[in-house]
Amino acid sequence: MSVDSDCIHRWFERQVGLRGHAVAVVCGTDRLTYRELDRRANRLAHRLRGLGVGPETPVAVCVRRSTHLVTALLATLKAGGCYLPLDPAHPAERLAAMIADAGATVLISDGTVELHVEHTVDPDVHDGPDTPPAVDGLAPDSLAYIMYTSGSTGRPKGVMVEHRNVIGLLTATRDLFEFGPNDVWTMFASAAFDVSVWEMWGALLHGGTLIVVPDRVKRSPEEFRDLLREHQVTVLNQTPSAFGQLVDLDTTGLNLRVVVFAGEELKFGSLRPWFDRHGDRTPLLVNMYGITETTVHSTFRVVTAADVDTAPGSMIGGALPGQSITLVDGEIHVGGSGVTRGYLGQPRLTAERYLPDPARPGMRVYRSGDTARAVGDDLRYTGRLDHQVKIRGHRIELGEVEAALRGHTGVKDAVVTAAPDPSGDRRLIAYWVGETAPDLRDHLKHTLPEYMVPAAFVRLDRFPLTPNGKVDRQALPDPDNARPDLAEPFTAPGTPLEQAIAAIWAEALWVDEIGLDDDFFDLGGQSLLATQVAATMRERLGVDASLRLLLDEPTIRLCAKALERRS
Amino acid sequence: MGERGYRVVRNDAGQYSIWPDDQGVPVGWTDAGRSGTKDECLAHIDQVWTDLRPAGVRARLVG
Repeated sequence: MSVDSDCIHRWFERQVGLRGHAVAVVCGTDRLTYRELDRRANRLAHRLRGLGVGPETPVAVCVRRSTHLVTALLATLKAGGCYLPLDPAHPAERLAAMIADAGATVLISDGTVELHVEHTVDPDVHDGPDTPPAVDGLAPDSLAYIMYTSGSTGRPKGVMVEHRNVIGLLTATRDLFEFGPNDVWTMFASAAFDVSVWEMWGALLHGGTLIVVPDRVKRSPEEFRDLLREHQVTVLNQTPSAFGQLVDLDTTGLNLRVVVFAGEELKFGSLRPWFDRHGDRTPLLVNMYGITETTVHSTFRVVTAADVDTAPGSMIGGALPGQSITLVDGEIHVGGSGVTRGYLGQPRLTAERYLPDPARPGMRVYRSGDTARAVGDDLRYTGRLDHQVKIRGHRIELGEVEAALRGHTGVKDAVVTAAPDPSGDRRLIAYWVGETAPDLRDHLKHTLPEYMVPAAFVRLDRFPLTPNGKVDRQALPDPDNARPDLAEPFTAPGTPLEQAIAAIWAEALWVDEIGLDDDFFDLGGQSLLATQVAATMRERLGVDASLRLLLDEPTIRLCAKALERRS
Repeated sequence: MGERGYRVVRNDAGQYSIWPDDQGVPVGWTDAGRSGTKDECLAHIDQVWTDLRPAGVRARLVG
């Protein structure tokens, strides 16, 4: 066996040898067999080798959700490099900062976002050898990918993950859940979010089929349900919030075998309607806890129907095989095969968070910042030690949002909190001190991804302070739900349809009154909220509303007009 | 209130970390010759740990 036989792409190539004609990846009407995907990735890998890519070389990948995205990520590994996945939906400025931080000089791009890098390569390569390139110096401890997560100082930090970390995760879970060639997995997560690592390689390294969920389908629970039916998906990974939207639908005709929850706290009670219809055996529902720094998943807990009534909280179970969980003063320390290399270019932060593992000589544990309490053999997740929050599965350092606010010339200082809204979801609230800044939201949209832009903005003359002189977060006022200062003057909705739409939007956006020409997305709306609002409009008003409608017609006036034209 | 003391430690892969100095040196690690407050130890590591690649990875690329 050569030293790289336990690298991710070598495992994939063994599946090519076993089942070259089986379907490997599907996106919309596009589908590739294992052999086709392998050949495409090999051609692209040769191109990357020609640009100097080899072990430890970062390759930025900015490709929209498609079979080409999978080709690009696989090709990077085959060339010996590590991929730096960039979500084309994030602001170009942010993506450029990550490319600069990683020092990437090669970019695989389908042209969706304009980025300036020394070498740009299209993922679709039609010439060159279609056998794997020779690469020296590659082994399981070589870098496989760099995944950026929110950073408290205002700069995202790159987590360096090695091939062995991913192989460890897949080896541990294969036997537990009997993953194999008959499984059909969805790739629902963004490639820039590490759950995609599990989805993609979980399918392709076990010989299964990967269904890349198109963006449009991701935004519509109904269309996503239809996709699960059409492809008879067997393994589904979801954040609890995304699964919650599925639970509300007719879920007959599915072929799910395993559903894995990750990314945020699971409220067991929310699964009651699902268990009532489907029981708790098929599919098996599994809650997993993990972090990018310890390679996606570290613990697992099978959820049963009885748990809905008896579980004392968000139970995350125990360590996956090959990993360990210890509680040190209530804080979760993760050890074993998933512990990654550290933070790119940040020795100080790496040494602070990756500590000697008392149980494994010379190895390290990762100090997570998450807290838990032992309940028998089980663990109950209890929260964070710092200012990191999870909103719809996205990990956000409040400090990073605060730094972005301070980047606006009118803002002297800023504090961001995450508060529950009436529906139980959490939303970000920005408190700031400074001059008036009507373009504050726009400013943030240029530097932060949508999920990090606060839903509400509150300007204060000064922050309340604790006796120690720190900002007293508990004493910050609740947002008053007043309509914010907008460029458009307030015009009251007139027709009954306009008033009905206004009522629904006001409820969802938590704003007392909404003007006829106010933009939904300037009032704190984002795509998930728009999807929910469209559903409420269909339900209560019997109109043909969709996410598309809100994106195209984002004011009450435009929306009402469009609906009247249709009827 | 006295601040807790730490020492800088290093493993065979050349990776640095910190460890409470009243708990000896963890198995598989060596004393890197520096102790002090947490902040002092981390500042030292920031100076000396210039290549985060594990020793094995580095050796393969040079060799």
